[in-house]
Amino acid sequence: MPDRLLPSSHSVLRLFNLLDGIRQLSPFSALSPEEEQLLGRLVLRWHGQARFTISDIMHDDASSSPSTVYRRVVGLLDKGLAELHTDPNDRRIRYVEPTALTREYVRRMGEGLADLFPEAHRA
Amino acid sequence: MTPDLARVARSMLAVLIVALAWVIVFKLNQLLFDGTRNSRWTHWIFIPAAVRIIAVMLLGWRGAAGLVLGAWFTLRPEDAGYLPHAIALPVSSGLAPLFAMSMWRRLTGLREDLNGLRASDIVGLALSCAVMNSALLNLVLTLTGSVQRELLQIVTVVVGDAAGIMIVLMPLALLLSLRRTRRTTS
Repeated sequence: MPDRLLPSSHSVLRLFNLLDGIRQLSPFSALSPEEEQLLGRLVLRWHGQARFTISDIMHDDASSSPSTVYRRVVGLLDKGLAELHTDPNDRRIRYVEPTALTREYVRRMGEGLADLFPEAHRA
Repeated sequence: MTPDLARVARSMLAVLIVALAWVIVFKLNQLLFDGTRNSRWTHWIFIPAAVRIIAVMLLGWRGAAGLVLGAWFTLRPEDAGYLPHAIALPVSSGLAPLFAMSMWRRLTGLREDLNGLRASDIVGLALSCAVMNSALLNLVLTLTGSVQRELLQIVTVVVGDAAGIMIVLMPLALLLSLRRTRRTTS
């Protein structure tokens, strides 16, 4: 990026980040589509795989930059849809784990799908 | 225009815009919340405090300079005619959010470009700005022998600034979150 663009882009970055922060003040600040998508991927990982860290998520997601993925993970942490648990054997490692709210979210999604597709649910 | 001159011109424009925003919101506060005045310098609701926090977060020292200029324009005649107040009151108005921002960034590691800014940072910054402004304002008034009922004065500024910031930011937050929801469902 050319040096002359840096000061302007810096103010623009601040503006976007400030607006994003202000938006989070709202009690109606729902999950963004990207956060919802990320949560879906995390639910699959919690179901099928071994424990994982934020770094694992950042490196495995090829669709966005690591910093963008990190920001979305933090968004989920802030909304109580994920939490960090320190590895008792290595306190440097913190695993991303579901919360009670995540389980409630998944349960409601399942109920919603069962209502939409009762035949499939019975099968 | 050389790059340095262009940069200076942009800085001056930023300062003027902030000063203008301060004056407009100050007048709006007089129109809407003058009934909450507690003393010559304090209100129980003071919405220009939102201009302080936004200006400094977006523009740093340029924002603070704009606040000083704007506060100078909105000085009451009694203060404008008394040199210590004419200088110290606008300067404290500009420095308070700058100090609060600097302190918050040291405390939380918040980046200069505000990457990772969360709602809790905004609330924390709002309270820090309110407390810092109260501290500096009351220090100035104490040193100039102008303050009476110190504790009430201190509390009024903290409450007034914090309430003013939230009154401005909450509707904006609702607007931004509803706008995003509408965009994602269409």
